[in-house]
Amino acid sequence: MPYGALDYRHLTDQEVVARAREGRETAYRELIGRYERPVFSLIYRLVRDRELAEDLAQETFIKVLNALDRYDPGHKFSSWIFRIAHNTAIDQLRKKEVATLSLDGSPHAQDAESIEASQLVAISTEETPEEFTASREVGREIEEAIGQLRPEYRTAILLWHVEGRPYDEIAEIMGLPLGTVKTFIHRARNELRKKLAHLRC
Amino acid sequence: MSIDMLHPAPDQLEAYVEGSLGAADRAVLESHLTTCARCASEVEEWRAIFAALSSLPRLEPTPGFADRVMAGVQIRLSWMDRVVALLRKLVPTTTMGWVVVTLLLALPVIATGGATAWLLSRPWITSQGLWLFLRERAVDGVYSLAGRAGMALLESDTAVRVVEWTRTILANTGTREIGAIAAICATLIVVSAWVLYQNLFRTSTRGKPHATYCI
Repeated sequence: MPYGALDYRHLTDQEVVARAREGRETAYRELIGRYERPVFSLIYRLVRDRELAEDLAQETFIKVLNALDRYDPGHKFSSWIFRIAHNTAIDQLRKKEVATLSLDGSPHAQDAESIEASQLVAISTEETPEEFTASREVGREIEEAIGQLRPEYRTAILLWHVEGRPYDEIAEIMGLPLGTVKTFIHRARNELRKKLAHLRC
Repeated sequence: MSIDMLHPAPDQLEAYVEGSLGAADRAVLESHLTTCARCASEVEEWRAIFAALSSLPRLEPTPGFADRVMAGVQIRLSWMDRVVALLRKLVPTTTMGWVVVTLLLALPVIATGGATAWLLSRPWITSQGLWLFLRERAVDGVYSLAGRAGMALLESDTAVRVVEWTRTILANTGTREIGAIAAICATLIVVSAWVLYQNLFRTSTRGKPHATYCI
């Protein structure tokens, strides 16, 4: 640990934000470390283009970290950053009209190699090669099925299943009534169930 | 038809797998599942969907993401943190550095003491004469300062009292008192430098971070 750096691991998001507001760069980096993967994953699964997702995730963090003095500690930091991530990605999808992009990969991917490279693949690090291939295939199917959902459904279902956020927090993140979020998640699951029916033994 | 044969609504099966079904409904449904293969199969389907979604990994951005973000972030320091940051730049990090800074801080006191000693060693300068001369200059200085502060301020009761009070102190102060004040100042400088050194730098050499001054 470098001199002067606090051990932030046991601090809540609010406490880390308070230290960042005091101008400590280590606290800013701690917030990035805590949320880079959740935020990037959400955005990547929304826009389905790695390069664009990197740019949007970066934009999200810059927006959030430059506005820390406007953060209300009465609300969850995670809700705030996810809301900005979701809005940034949705704005981009509307702007670029990529909501209906090819599900095989990036709309910018031209050849087979770049299509393969731009596909979302679920990989676990603790698997045998056989399991790895099987789970890679299943993961690809799930990612493709998720990619066919409406972006709002995707955010809702990913926040619930991948990030483990409760319904009320998802409603706060998406700025929607609780009932609407429950409907989104229910419909998304039903769509996935139909799309993934062929995977069941 | 028994209650077990009534199929639950599809939403209930989903809620059951999700874990949001109430205890009473759950008990009824679980009882039904033991006898209904169709609903049991549907529950398995939901379980598979939930498991597949929960197994989705978090994806990682490319290395150096934090650096790229920080390049676009403006860290705003409070005025107190600016002062601490400035002080940290000014203060030395080695014992030798601290000795030099302490000497530099004590230099005005040492210089004044030396100059006084040199002046007093001249045969035509007496301590009484030197003190009277300095006191005169000091009193003039106080009046000049008060003059610059403005006539309105000078005419106020508080200003007049402060000027009179300062003049009285200076008039009644002798060389011994001045020597004592200089000694106290020098001691305070050395002690405060030592305290700063102990708090700011000794901890870092032992590898323990100091929370208050962490930036």
